[in-house]
Amino acid sequence: MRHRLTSALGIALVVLLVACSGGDDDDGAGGEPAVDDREAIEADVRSAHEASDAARRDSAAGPSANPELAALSDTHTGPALAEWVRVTTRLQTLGMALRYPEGSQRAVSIDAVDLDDDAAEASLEVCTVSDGEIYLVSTGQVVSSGLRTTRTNETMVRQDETWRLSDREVVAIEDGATC
Amino acid sequence: MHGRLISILRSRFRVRDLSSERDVPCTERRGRSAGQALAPVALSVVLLGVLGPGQEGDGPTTTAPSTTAPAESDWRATQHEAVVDAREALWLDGRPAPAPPVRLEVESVAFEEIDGAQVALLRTCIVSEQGDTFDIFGGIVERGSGYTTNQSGEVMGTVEGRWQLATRLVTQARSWEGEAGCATD
Repeated sequence: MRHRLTSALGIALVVLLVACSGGDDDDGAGGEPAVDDREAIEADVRSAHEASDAARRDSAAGPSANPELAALSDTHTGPALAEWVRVTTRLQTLGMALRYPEGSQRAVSIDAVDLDDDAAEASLEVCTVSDGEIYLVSTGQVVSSGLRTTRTNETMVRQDETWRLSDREVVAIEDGATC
Repeated sequence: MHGRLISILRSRFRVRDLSSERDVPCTERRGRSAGQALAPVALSVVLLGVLGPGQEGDGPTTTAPSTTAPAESDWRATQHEAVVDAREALWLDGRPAPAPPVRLEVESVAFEEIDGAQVALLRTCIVSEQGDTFDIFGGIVERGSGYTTNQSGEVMGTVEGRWQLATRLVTQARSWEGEAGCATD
């Protein structure tokens, strides 16, 4: 009898430990991820943001802006994707594209990453220094140029285990490099 | 006196996007004329479609109310007035204010931001006095009279922080004899 009681208590303890350890998973259903997991997730978010930034630049680059670039839909979703498709379509229609000078000073810094509780969405404060030029592809004529700083609030969401940019709001555009 | 001058200028240009009392220094107002500006590009057909009458709903367009600045609070709102002022300055090109009905109206401005580079797509309505016509020997054979109204799509961009006219339609989107069309809408 005593032996059976001990066994039952042991099983209960194991069940309890398994249940408690489930909270450390980042499956979004069992509570907040552990600190180590959050750091890893933040690293994933930063990496995915870098990919989304590259996709935007590539899709706007000459000789023709390309709103159908696969990397764009691989790294963007929702309003951010719709907005950039609209912008690149307009660039394409106008015969304009984006280019960078030799020795470009472009630099992106992510000042803050704020993960939500279940690590399915991340809010980012981004500061970008860029000297990219908008130009007319047919003539090379520069339409817009100069060193400037763009501050944006951006949102990335996790879809199918991939982080994608879902929203991007320009907060300010300043002359020069001010990040 | 200053207010009266502003009032006269407002009535002559009827640039609907200007806010009430902003004074732009002459150095900012003086710019290259459309002809001196970056070479016109044959974007006429393209811009007709992009900046046509149905374009306002497509993208971040600001169409200012008659007397007040746009209500937007984002970066576009801060640039709207600068774009209109720069376009007006290019049109004036340092000349005295023309007599009514000659005027420039900026009907709409749509902004695009590409990696911080700003591009403004304007639709303008310009009432002009018909100019002189010259024959091939350079003599004046006809002095025009009356006015023409032209509605155009234009592209402006920032170069070193200043708005400049990048492209202007070679062929206007629409043209009317007299003060008509977009000038009377």
